[in-house]
Amino acid sequence: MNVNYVKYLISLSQKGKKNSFIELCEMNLKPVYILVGRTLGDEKITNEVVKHVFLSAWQNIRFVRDDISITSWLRSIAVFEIMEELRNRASRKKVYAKPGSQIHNPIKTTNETEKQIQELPELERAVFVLHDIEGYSSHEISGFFDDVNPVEVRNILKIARQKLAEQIIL
Amino acid sequence: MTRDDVRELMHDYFDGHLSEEECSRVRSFLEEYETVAEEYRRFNVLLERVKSLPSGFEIPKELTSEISEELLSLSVAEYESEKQRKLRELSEGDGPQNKRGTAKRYRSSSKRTVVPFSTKTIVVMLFALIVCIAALLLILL
Repeated sequence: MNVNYVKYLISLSQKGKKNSFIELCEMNLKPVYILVGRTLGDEKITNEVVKHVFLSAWQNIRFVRDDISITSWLRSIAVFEIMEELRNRASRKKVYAKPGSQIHNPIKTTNETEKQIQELPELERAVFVLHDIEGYSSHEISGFFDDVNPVEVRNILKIARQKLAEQIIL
Repeated sequence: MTRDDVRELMHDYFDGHLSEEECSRVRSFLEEYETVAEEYRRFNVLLERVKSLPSGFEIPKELTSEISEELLSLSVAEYESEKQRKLRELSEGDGPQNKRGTAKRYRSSSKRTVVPFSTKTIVVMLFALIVCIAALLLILL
């Protein structure tokens, strides 16, 4: 990704040029989709949340700073939107008549580890993805949730790791 | 240190939260107990796999166009809400034009009472009417 070109697209987006912003979306769709998809697991809900991420980014594009990459910025918005979804289940209510924590339409994947992560319960999956894949600390993850302290995050993480490790054939 | 203690410490060991002394204790325990060592190897494989996890996700092709459509509808909604806001400001006299008195003028004109003739005009007209009647009476007599 050409850094100068990305900066150029950001500056045009800040001036209200939608086509430039859509180009930025296309460039960053994959990392955002993977993060949201891994954490939420459901295809339809992921599509909704990914749309929210980019719409939210469009509304806040003027706040993008030079010292942070657009991908990192979008990922932080994605984490915020994921947490919103886990708390309020807004997209779940929009997509499914009977919202629950189960995955109705798992995202199609060919990777076995991805499938095993999808099979984890909602909270364990979110904590595992944010900690072991995205690299957030247990304190940061605790800050994302309203009612889970860092010790509880560590305990949830241990359970998730244990479940996934048991499926590994040495 | 019990096996359960080491199992607990293994996670902190992986995450680099242990002191050098605690790390060496965990390592020596792993050398001693095969069952815990196997668990450790599983964790190791798992965390190595997720570090370089290739995404096998199929991203829906229509997602970008859906985002574009939502952006467009958002822009239309933003335009409409901005238009409504400006109209509201104009009618309430709170808008930026108020500083120049334009909106104030709109507001004062809407409250103005409609009076077709001034008092002076009415007095003049009444006087003219009396003169006319007097002249008519003089002619008749």
